[in-house]
Amino acid sequence: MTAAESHPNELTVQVGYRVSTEQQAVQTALLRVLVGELTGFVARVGMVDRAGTLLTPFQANPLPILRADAAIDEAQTSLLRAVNEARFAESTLTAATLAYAEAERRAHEMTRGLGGLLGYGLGLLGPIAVQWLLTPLLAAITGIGIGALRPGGAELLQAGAAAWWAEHRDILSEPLTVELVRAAIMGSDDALGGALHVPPALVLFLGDQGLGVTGVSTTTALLLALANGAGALREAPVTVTRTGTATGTVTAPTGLRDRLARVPHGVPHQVRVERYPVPGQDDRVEVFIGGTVDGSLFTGEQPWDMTSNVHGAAELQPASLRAVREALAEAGVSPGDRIAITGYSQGALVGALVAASGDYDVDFLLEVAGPSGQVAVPDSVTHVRLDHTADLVTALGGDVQGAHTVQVRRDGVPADTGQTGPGQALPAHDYTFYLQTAELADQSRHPEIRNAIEGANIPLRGAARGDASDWLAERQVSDARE
Amino acid sequence: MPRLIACTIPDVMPLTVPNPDTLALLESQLAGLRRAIAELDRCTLAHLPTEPATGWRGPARDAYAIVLERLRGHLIEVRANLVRAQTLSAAAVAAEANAVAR
Repeated sequence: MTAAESHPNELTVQVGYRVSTEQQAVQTALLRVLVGELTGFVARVGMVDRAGTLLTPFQANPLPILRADAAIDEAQTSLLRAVNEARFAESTLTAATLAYAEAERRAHEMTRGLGGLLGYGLGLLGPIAVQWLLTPLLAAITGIGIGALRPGGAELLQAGAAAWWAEHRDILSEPLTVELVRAAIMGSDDALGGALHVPPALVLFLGDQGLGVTGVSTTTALLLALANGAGALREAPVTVTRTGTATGTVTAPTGLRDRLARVPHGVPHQVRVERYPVPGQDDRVEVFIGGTVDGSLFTGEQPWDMTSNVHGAAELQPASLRAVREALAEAGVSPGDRIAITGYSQGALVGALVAASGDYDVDFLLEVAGPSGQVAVPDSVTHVRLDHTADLVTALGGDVQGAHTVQVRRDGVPADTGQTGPGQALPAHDYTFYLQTAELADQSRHPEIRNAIEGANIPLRGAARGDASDWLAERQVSDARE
Repeated sequence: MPRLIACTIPDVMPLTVPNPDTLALLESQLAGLRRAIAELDRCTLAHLPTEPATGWRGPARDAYAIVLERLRGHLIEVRANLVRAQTLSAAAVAAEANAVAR
């Protein structure tokens, strides 16, 4: 079977299990047109006026025209062979793509099946393994502690840890690591079932391989309950304040990069709402939601934090989601307004939750680097995901659920330009790197990407300049929910 | 009894008659061939994939590469035949034009 190689700037597009590189899709489309054109060309060559041949008995030198006639016949024969060959080439390419998709589907099912069994086994045998590992681990920790107590020991330990991290941090940006994490996330409900000694058949039946009653969100919700008990990751009410307004001056976005470039970065606001009047139609609303600002596990005033991430993964009501709803209401967006949403990282998760809620008429969703694969975005939404295969954050949301979702993937990590900072732990999650990917997608001729971009742009055709409002959300930590 | 008339082929072969209508028909054929070649070139340039897609390897890619090469060969053959027909038609036009001029 085919194997994909890593090519800089080459995008891979997946819709359900249908996978194709941009060039494969473009070549299939080219060959389809070529077959049509050559078929028409057979008729056009047949229509070349050959009446002169009939008059050869009356010509001064009939030999050339008779030989020309034979050459036209040969051209027609070769042309018919070329038409057949072009059809065959198109079929070969389509068959290869389908076979690739089938192999992808089987590999995926096998991985998930094994992942589920492995997860169940780990959950079942985990407590025994922990006891088995605990003794040497305690000894190691004691040894490290004694070493740290020696003069200069702590500094040496810190320097050693920093050096180890500098040498190994690339492991977080390996596509294999990303896929293992994704498999672990998808197997987490199985592990939980194993730990609770639930019969394996029942775990499989209720899990994502079966009915889908339990899944990533169930496990996250249980972990969240445990964390809440320990005083972490507690949610609280949220308020939003308008920090900026532009009236009648904003031009409508076009394409993916333009949309991603409008996503805010937490300070001074996390949400932007744009409204465009479209002649003869209802207004069009474009919503832009930023990514995580605060990485702390303890609930703070910043709603774009880990508390919201975990609540979002559990498909509950994170503060960031409530803040977006509040901002939409304050901006005069009501259920029924046609909305397009663009979100980066946590903003993608929040955008997916808004679309999945069904409370708004969302018809386009651009998720960039979102930990949101398991959120069920309705089929009525034109749904595009930009994912980097080395971006660990995207794996935290598990597999992408939507069979209609256009996943645009890109390999690699950004070149070290110094802009991203040498200490950045997840370079493939970098916003500017995603901006480049969005630009590549805009330039792509892949039919799935072109259709999706058209789907986003068509409702804005003829739109006048619009209004924009920026919204800053704050969590009321004094009201943290018990 | 019907009377048989014996004749030989040279007897019924008409004499060469230079004719402007014949010249016009040959010129029409030549123009048609020129258009066909231009059309083929445009079509090939616009729609024939130059090489198998990158990011792909293995037997399926090799099979596709072979099919693509054969297709390119057929199209080269079509063009060569059309060019030959064009050259020969041009020669016929020139000969006929000379005959008409005389």
